[in-house]
Amino acid sequence: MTLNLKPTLKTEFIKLLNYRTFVIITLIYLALLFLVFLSIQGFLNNITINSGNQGEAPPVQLFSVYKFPDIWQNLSYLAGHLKIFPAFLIIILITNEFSFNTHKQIIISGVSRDEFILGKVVIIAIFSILVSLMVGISAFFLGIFQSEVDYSAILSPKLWFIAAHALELFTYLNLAALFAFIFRKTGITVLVFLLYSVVIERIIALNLPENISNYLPLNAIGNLIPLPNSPLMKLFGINFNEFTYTSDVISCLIYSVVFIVLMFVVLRKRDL
Amino acid sequence: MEEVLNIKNLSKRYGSVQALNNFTFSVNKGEVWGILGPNGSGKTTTLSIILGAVKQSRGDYQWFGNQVNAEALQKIGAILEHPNFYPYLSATDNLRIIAQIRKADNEEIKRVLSFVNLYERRNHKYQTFSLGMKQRLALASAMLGKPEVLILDEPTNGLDPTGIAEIRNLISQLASEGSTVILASHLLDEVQKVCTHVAVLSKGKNLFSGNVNQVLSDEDVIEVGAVESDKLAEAIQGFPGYKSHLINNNLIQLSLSNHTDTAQLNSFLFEKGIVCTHLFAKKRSLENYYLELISNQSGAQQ
Repeated sequence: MTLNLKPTLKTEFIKLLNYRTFVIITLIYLALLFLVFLSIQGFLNNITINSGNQGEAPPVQLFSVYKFPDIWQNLSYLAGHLKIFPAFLIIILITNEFSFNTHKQIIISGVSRDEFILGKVVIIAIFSILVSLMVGISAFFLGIFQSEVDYSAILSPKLWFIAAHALELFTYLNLAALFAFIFRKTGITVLVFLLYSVVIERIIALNLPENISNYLPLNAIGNLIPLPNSPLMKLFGINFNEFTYTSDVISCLIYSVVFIVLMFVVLRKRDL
Repeated sequence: MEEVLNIKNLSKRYGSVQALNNFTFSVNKGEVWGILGPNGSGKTTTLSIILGAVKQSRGDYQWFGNQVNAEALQKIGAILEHPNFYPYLSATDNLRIIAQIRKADNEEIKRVLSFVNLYERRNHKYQTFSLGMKQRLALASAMLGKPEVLILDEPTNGLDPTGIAEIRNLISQLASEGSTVILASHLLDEVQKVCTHVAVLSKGKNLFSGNVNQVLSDEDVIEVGAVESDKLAEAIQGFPGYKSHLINNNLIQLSLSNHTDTAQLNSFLFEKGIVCTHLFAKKRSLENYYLELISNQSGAQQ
């Protein structure tokens, strides 16, 4: 059977753009991201100064979060910590279909179950790309409005972290979508998703050797953008890698495919 | 005649409940089928299965000679149980979604909205609609894309008498234009007025399927009453041509397999020492027939 995603996508746009709750939450999320980007420098300065004052530790050199090329990594790393908001959005969008029973009406009107799922996946992909573009644009402007700008460092391999953030969102939101397709009710899905993120995966991780637990879904997603190195850490001799491992990219891509396939299995097998 | 739908031995079991049991029937182009049955008799289950929303436990069905798929469903306009739309979208936006799927244009959205008298309210949100308006919007959405087959599950639920009459006219009109209609209902009057064919379901079993006229002209019904109704019920079973009877408000609805004069019955009963207080020959209605079938089935199971 041939897939024709065009009508499905058009219906998704009608649903999303006229859904005020969705539009407002998305705008709040983007505003929140930008606010965090703006305030992080002051927050870090505060910590650095305080920790310097408390003990015998040598004074730590203040550093700028907004310096090219590090800003690409710093801000995408930060953005990764707010990805729970879009996950809730995606959960609401999908469980809405089940609570309004509109999934049934859409499918008996002539959208195949696979097209219905792929419509959601494409929306997730578009959303992930748009959000990481926003992160990139914010980073660019925050970067060039600093007093000392190293223009030659704007184009750097660290720009890949923006793409890594898109993959991070895409994989994470597909996991949220899978939970929504399984549990169907908004409250239960949010609860189970939180439980999995905060408790269940960590318990599993504790019982596995590190070289395996690193590849659990949320760990693999989180490993895409490593914690940025700062002078504070260098002081302690900690040095994180400054690039994304190919193995993490591959495991995230594999997870995305697995999540999507599981959505197919769940929706094909069950009654509407 | 061109066969539109063919159902073979369809069964569905929900846990311990046999919702549908070996249902076999077929629908030809241009026929208007009424699926009758009390609540929980398997009407919605049947429609959900043939629309691909619910998987059958056993059996098979074919649309236009093929397995059901999204393409076939685009030629079928359907409402299942309650109207299902996005509450935060307007009537027009809700129909735009269905129109995208069924390749209908904006003109058609306007046309179906006017048809169901919702054009004035087209920009209002679905959540502000009354049940009747929701039902009419569902009907409008089923008509989008000029489907070859209409499947309507209780289409007059929640409608006022005018609305019911409008929908009845609409179905007749669509049928006269050559649409095939499958209508599930528990309103017998409605089915009798618009349907060419009828299938009766009870507890998941198909008790009858065939032409409405056949049901209505085959046999006569005589309504008879007497003071001693127990004795009457016993006596009539010995009357030549007796087929079945139904007790309703102290009156007995007697179905006979051949045409009989009421005088013959009167004298027969008089000989048995029963004096009739009521004797009335009726043209059989679908309601009589339906109640008879349902009561026969529950009688047989006891």
